[in-house]
Amino acid sequence: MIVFFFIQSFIFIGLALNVFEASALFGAAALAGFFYGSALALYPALTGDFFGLKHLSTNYSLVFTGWGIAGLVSPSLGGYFVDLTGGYELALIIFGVFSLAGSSTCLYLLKRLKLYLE
Amino acid sequence: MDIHGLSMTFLVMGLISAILGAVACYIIMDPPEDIVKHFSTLGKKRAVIPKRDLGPREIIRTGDFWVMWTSFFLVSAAGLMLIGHLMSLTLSRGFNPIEASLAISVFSVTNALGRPPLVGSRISWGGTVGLSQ
Repeated sequence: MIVFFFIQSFIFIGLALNVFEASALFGAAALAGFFYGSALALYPALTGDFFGLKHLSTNYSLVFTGWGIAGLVSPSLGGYFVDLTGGYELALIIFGVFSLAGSSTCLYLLKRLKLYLE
Repeated sequence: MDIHGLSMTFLVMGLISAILGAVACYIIMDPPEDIVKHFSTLGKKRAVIPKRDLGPREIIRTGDFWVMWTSFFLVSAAGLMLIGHLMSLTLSRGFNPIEASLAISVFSVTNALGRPPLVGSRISWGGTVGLSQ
């Protein structure tokens, strides 16, 4: 569980690296990609633990709409911040904070999860 | 035929995935009974068992679903934004287009590498979360 939280915080750190070390471009791209991928892979498991396995595929498709909306909104939102400030720093920091907020929400979810597991 | 150029690349990629997908959907099938049994006992041994089975209509009435939805939204927003903007970001930092597309390749490869926790959770969907407890 703690690992779950930290993995997602590392997305934030990966993005922060990107902000300050442009020369570490490849490393930052690798880190961000890795933790984005693993965060995505953890949500089906979380859905299964919360709501049971019987309707997992339908339930996960509902949770997955969150990803869809994010895909719809976040690139244009990012573009808006870039146009606003003329650089990527603010946009990256804002999305890093988004990511950190999501991770903190997970801490709450994990506390709730103990109620539903045997 | 010249396969360089943007629209031609998309056409070729589309054809490749259409052919592979059509072939793959004939190969794929339900796993045999004994394999299903083997993995379901494996899952019961090591994973925590969810107490309840809620349907889609029930889960959207729980607060937990919306908390989970929001956290998924927030967590994936950063990655999705980076996918969309990595090219212009690297170019704006003074890298050349070859380095920029290399960075995108690196991102995509590690994106795929990050997913294998899924393999653990495939065996029993509680596996990944259960293991890290």
